[in-house]
This record gives sequence, C-alpha cells and structure tokens, in this order.
Amino acid sequence: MKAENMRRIVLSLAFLVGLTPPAGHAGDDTSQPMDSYFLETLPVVLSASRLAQPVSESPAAMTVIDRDLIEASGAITLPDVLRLVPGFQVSLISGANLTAQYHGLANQHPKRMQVLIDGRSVYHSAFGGVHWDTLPITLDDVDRIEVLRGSNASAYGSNAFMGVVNIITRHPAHDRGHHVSLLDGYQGTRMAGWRFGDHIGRLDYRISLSEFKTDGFPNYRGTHTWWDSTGGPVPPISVTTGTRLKPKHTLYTLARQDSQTILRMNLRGDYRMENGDNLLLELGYAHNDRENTLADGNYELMRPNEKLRAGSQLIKWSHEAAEGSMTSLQFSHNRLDFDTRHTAIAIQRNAGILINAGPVLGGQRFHNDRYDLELEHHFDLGGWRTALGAGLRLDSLNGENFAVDNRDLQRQQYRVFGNTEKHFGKQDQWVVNAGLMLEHQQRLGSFASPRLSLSLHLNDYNTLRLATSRAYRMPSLYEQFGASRVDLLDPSSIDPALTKPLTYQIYSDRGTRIRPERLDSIELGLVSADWIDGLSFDARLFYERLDKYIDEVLHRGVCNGCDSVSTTVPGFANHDLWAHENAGWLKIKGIELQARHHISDRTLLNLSSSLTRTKGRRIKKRNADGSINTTMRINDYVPHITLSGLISHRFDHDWTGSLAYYYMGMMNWPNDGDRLHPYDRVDLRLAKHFRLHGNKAQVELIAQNLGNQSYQEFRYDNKFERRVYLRLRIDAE
Amino acid sequence: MHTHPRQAGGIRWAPTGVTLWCLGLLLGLLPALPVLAARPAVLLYQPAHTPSLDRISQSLIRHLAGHCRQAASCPRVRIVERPPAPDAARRAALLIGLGEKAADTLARNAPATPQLHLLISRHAHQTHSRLPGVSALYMQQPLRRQLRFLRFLFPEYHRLGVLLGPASRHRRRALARAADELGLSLHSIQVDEQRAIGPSLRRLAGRSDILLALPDPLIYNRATLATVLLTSYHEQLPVFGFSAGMVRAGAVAALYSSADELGTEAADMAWRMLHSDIPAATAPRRFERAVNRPVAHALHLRLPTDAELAQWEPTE
Repeated sequence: MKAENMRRIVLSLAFLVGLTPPAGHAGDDTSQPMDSYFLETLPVVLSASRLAQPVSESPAAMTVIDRDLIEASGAITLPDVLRLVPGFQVSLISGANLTAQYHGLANQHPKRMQVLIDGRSVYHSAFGGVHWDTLPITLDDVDRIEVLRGSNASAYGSNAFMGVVNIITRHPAHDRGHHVSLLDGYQGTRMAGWRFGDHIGRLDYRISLSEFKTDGFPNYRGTHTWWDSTGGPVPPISVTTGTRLKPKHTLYTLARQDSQTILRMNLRGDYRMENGDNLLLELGYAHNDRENTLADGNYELMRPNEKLRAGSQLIKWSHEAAEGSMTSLQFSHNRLDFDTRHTAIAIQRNAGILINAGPVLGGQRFHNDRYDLELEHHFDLGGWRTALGAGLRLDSLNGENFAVDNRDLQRQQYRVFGNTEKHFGKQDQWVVNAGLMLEHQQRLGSFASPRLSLSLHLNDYNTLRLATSRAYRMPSLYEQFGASRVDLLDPSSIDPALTKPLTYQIYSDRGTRIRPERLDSIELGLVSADWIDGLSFDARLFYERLDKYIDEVLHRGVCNGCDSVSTTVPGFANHDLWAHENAGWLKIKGIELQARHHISDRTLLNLSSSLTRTKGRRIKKRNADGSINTTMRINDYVPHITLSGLISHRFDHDWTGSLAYYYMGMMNWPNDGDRLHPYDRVDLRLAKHFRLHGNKAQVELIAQNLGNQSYQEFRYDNKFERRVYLRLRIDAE
Repeated sequence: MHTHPRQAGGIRWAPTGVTLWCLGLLLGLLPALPVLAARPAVLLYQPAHTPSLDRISQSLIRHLAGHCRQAASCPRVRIVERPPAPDAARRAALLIGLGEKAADTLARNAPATPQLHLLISRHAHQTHSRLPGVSALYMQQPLRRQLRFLRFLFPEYHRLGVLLGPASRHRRRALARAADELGLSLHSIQVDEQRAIGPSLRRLAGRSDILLALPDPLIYNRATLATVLLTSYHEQLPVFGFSAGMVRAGAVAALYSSADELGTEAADMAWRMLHSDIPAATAPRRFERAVNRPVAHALHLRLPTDAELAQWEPTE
C-alpha cells in the first residue's frame, strides 16, 4: 500500500511539473518594458474567495480565526484553535486521535460538519466527517479559518449540516523562502516542520513537510487491581509512569497505547495563465501510524497498530471577469486507506470483575475514495449577485469487514445549487440572500435544502439578521451499509456458561431503510463592528430541530446465525447486534456570543460563549421482534455552556504573551465517549522574537492547563494534565 | 529604301498592351505626385501589437483625422512595426513612438525630425530623449494629482509608504516635496532585489497607512504583483496603484489614463507639432478614477460614492 501511495504522489508531482513552464520564462516578467504593464490586463490576485468577507455581510453567523489569533492561541494542532469558536467542542479521543464538532453530537467522526481546505472538501464518506489527524496541512500553513456557525447546506452541500470550517491556506506568493518550525514537550510530543515557497515563472508554489510524534496520554498512575488471563485478580499494585509490568499484568493495557506518528506533505501551486486565469493545484498526503486502544468499564480492546493514509489532489481553474463575474471548475479526489484490522486481546468485565477474555480479530481495512467535480459561476443578474453551480460526486469503498460480505460499495450524488443576494431600500440597508441546493443521492432519493436570510443594516456599525434553513445530511457509507464484526479467534477459550458473549459488537444495516437526517433551523443575529472603536461583537439566537437523528441501536438477540461463533459455541445462539437507524430527534436552542476587541495596537481580547438548552430522545435498544426495548434522553449530547477568553499583548518589539481560558460544561460524548464533568483550563503562551543570522525567529513557551487541575476529555481515562511545550520558528526569506 | 538590320533590331521593341497600360497610369498619376508629396507624412512606430497599443494608435489616428477634417488637409499616418529606415525617418514630418524602446530608437535614428513619444516615463524622457523638437506625453499621472486623490479618498491617512526600486528611486525627492505639501509623511524603503519585496513590505506596513505604488519593473510586474498585493493585504496595508489593471488585480484605487484618452491627447499634440508648434512634454490631462470596492470593503475602508468620485477634480 505504501508503494502505491508513493507512486501516486510521484505521478501527481510529475503532473504538476508537466504544467510548469520552462525556466526560461522566469525572467520575462521583469525584463518587460515599463510601458507594457501600464495598460495590460493583470490577473485578479485579491479575488472574492481570497478576501475576507466582512462578518456583517455574511448571510450566516461567522467566526474568523486569523493568523494573529492562531499565533496568540498557542495551539499546537489545527482543531485546537476551534476552541475559540462559540459552540465548538474539541476533544482528544485518545492520545492519538481527536475530534471537533459544532453543537456536540460528536463521536470519533464529526460527520455533521463540512471541512474545506481551499475549497476542497475533506469529508471522508466511509464514517463521515474529517480525520483531523490525516489533514495534509499543519497550522503553520493556514492563513485563516472561517467558521460558519449553523447550517449552510444550500451553499456547501449536505455535509455542511450544522457548520462549515473553511481553512484558507497561505498563498505561495506570500510565503517566499524557508520556514522551519520545531516543537518539543509533553509526553514525547515532537514536531518538525519545513516549508518552502518560491516561484518558477508564472507558477507560485509552496511545499511543506512535517512530522508529528506523541506518546499520547501518560500511563495509568495510582493503585489499581488487575486481572490475569484466567480471571484471577492480581494483588493491587501502585503504579506510576514508567512502572515496569510483570507478564501477568500485560493482559490489561496498563501502559496506555495511544502514541502516534504523523507525516504530512503538502504541495500547492498557483499558476497564473497568460490570459489572467488562475490554476490552483494542491497535492496532499498524510501518513498516520497510531495505537488506538479503547477501553471502558466493560470492554477493552487493544488495538496496537492502526494505519491511516490519506491522499488528496485538487485542480481548480478560475476565471474572473472585470464585472465581478467569476467561473470556476474544480476536480478533487480524496483517498483514505484505513487499516485497523488487528488481532488483539478482548477483555470483558462486569462491575470491574473480569468475566471473559480471549483473542479476537476486529477492525477494518479499506480504501475509500471520493471524486468530486464542480462547476460554479458567479455573476450579476440585474442587481442580484448570483452564484449557480452543479456538481457530481462519486464515493467508493472496498475492503474487509466494512460491509456485508465485504462487498464493494459505490454511491453517486448529483447536485445543483444557487445563491442570490440583493441590497435594497433607500440606502441599501436591506439585504436579502436566498440559496437552494438540490441533491440527488443514489438509493436515497432527491432532497432540497433551502436557506433564506434577511439582513438589516441598522446603521454603519450594526446589522440585524434573520435566517431560516432546512438541511439534510446524507448517511455515511458505514451508517448506510456498514456491517462489521469482532471475531473470536479461539472459541474454546470462552466459558459457555457465561451469559454474555464476548463477540457481540457487530454492526449491520439490518435491512432498515436509513433516511438522511434533517435539520430545520431559525436564527436571529446581531453583528456589530467598530461601534466602539476596535470592538466587534456578534450575538446569535438560534433554534434547531434535528429529525431522523442517526445512531447505533442495540438489537437484542437477533443475530441468529450471523456470526460464526454463534453456531459453534453453545450459548451464543442469540446475539445482540448494533445497527444504525434513524433513532431519534433533538431540539437545540440557545444563544452564542462572541466579541473581539483590539483594546490598543498591542492588546487583543477575544471572548466567546455558548449557552444552549437541548432536548432529545433516541432509541437505545430494540427487542428481537423489532419493538422498542429502551429509549434514552440525549439532552446531554450538547454541552449546556462553553466559554473561551483570550487576551494577547505585545510587551515590546521582542516579547508577546497571551493567556487563554476555556470552560466546557457537562457533556455526554456519544458512542465510544463518556458523560464527563465540566472542566476549565488556562493556557499560557510567551514568545520572544529575535534575529538569528539575520532571519526572523521566535521561541515560544506554551503551557496548556497551567493550573494542572487534571480533567477528562471524551473518556474517563483521558486525563488532561498540564502540558508544556517549547517551540522555535525561523523564517528565512 | 533600305533598312539597317541592326537598327531594325534596335527598334524591334514592340510595346505590349500591359506596358502601355502601366505607362498610361504613371503618366496619369504624374499631376497628383506633388499633392502626395505635400501631405505631411506621420510615421507611427508601434513595435508590438497588443490590444491596448492598437487602441492608442487607432484613437490617435481617429482624432487626428478629426482635426484635419476641420482644417481640410490630412496628414498621412503610416503605422510601422519596425524601426523606420533613417532616410524615411528623416523625410517624415513627424515621428511618433509608442513605448520607451521606440522613443529611444527614434531619438537615435532621426534626431533632427520632430518626434512625439508616448507611453514614456518622465524620467526616461528627460534623461534619454530630451532633444529640441521632441515632445512627450508621459504615462504616469503627476505625483501631486495622485496624492490629492489619495487624500480625497482617505483623509485620515497621513503616513505614506513607498517602495523604491532602481527605476523609481530618483523620484524620492520630488515625492517627499509633494507629500510634504499635502501634509503627508513619507516612509520609503529601497528595494534592490525581488526577494526583498515581501520583507520590505512587512517593515513598511508597520510605519505607513497606505502604499503608493510607483512604476518600477523590479517591484511591480506580473510575477511580483501577487506577492505585493497578498502581503500588503495580509498586513492590512491598502495599495494605491497606477493602472486600471492593478486596481482590478487588487489595489484599492488608482488614477490612470485610458488608451482612448492617451490617443486623443497624443492626437492634439501631434496636430500642433505638424504645425511647427512643439508643445512641452506633459502628463495626460484626461484621466480616470478607479477604485476596488470589494478590496476596500475587506480592508474596512470607506470609499466615496461613484457620484462623488466623478465630481472630484484635482486643484492643480
């Protein structure tokens, strides 16, 4: 697989080089006589997509995290900065895996949100959502992140169900020279990154490489009782980090296995064509080797080796005409090679007592591709600023233990969309914006996602916005077709007298026709900019209703004959299994506030908060005959309160510092996660800027959770303690 | 009667129909020759065919024709793509060159013939082709006009930033004087190589409110434009450009003269020169005001309305 990936990268590179003009062109631009560029047509550099849209003009609530805020936050990973966005939850699933989602409902796969890198969707269709740890870029490559809070399916498609994270990378023309970044700190976390930008003739390019390593969470500490493979308890022992374990302990993951190594490569080329058109090329590759042991009170699975490989290619042509009309055509391909197939020891405990253990074969191995073709045209239609577009998408997946009979999956989607905006009123104080996305998904049917917003500019500083929308989320391939199991390798190791079988985690589509989730929302927003000098403020009152909520439901004793163990081991005749279905509904209402105040040239204050009330219910278990056994309230799938505050200050030319505060209320992380207590934490960053052999350099000290009041993220056993990092960055221009 | 055979051979030339016809035509044209010779010949040297150069030439010819309709005698304008032969250049009543290269060639080949140079910088004209009988229409707008427009657009801006390259550093003094008159403080950085553009812009951004782009092929060309505009945008430093193309690309505003305007003014000057009146080299009187509202918007700048822009006149 490795060789195949490398071959793909080499081919893609060759493709890029093939488009590169001969080096002889390099000097042409400067040797042109001065008169020639007085009159010539020049390519549009600051195009609409490159310019930050003022927040007051946006038809949806938007948070912009620019370079200054990224720097000030002291974030190490990209999702970390999303903690500054109201309503966002960012969490480590294990030391080697993290998730970020808007308005909760997040398991390992934040599937209700669209993530874009320079307009390319990085949504993986297998489980849905983005694998943050396989993004080909790091925070250093990012120019700014625009987060659209709330549904925006009419503009970005069904993946933009609850929000959009639009990552805009730095333009290569702005990034000439070498940039080196080195980080060292907590639990063997190390990062080394190199970026280089230059141009060959009309092609501006940037290449970046980075490696990130971490040992994850520290090993368990404190006094624990362990069990050996026969079920007999091992006397309690007191352990601290680095405790050497005797063989009898090794059955249980006393040492946390959640390290990871990520290698990232990214190449971006912006080619200005003779006629002023732009060609954007992006190649990305991420290579993630990680351990991902999952354990909870009753079930534990050691998955020491997972391999994730993500490759992506984007080619986008855009043509901008003088009258503000723009046409673009883009083709992109995302590939995810996912390999968590493993043999491991599964341990089953009940109330802390080990009841069963045995070697199992679980996990999945597959290749997942998404091909996307999109045409878009922006133009002015009698005063209506209009965008029309059409797209074609193909998802495919083949592999082991993902679908019934390991069959190959394919799914097509067609879409057409339009958005139009007009200012009216005496002083153009009213703005109406309407959008519609029509999608046809194979096997699921056609869906229309409309959005309508009306803004009123109260005065030069304040804007009021009322918006309503409907959006659909297409189920992921796993939700639609998933069927996988954990196989017991040695059935004789199982005590048939036990009532609870070991191999019960089987997902299947159960033949139920799964329907897309539907979200209806209405919001009232107030955006204020510079009413008080340097202060921007945004408040959003919202109500969202999610219907046909998809989740896993436990079907009791229905799996007769669907598992080999059941037929060979007495007592395993009737299995439980898990199946995805439209299991419930959810209503979320609340208010989000954000404020950014440039108190002075040197001091910046950023505040955000979200207060929500959630009501929801879903089916938890069904009986063998399909009747509902248990339902559960899911009011706590969205945290009631989240808060963040960041203050950053430049002391003088050399020193800057920032202090961040984060609070998250009680939340129940669905599926693999736990119901966790509220937490707060304080982060500190101190940076010294200096010159190193004439190059700009800075050294930063970053401390996360400064107070060292350990708290839990996603699961009980993820204890987040104080983490200290040292980072050095050098820019050689 | 006897006939000498050789003589007979000598006069055996028998005129054919075609030659007779040609001869007749030549004879018929003879009376017209003095008239043709009397029409002053204008040689327009346009070294390259680009849409904008073609537009200037066409506008010039059209407006020159407009002048002669009133005066009833029309100069003959011939567009040449190669440098005219020295003889032809000497014989011409007026030579017009488009661009600095053309100006240079004409000034060298026919220093004695009246010449009008278009699309030339003031500096190039004054250093290379300042000859009696040579006039020029500069391509740049006068500094004061530009600065007045800049002050009109952004009255709150007082710190003017400039990058000076090899072709523009001579303007520093004039710029400082003009800036001083208009109450602007000037911050300039010398740039000698392309790689220094980004860092210089970042340095400049800390000290200035707006960047005034002065034409200089090292700093502002197709290859560097993206760097200049993206870096300055990133540093929230608006760029005041010098052409319509720059504004379209991402500069916040510019004053410029269109190809038609340049052609019209050149025709006026050429007409005077054909009547032995050599006007002083000058900047174009006609100009356009261009602004890029989306960019201004993104930089949180407020611009005057289109009507206010159209009404603005520099008090020169």
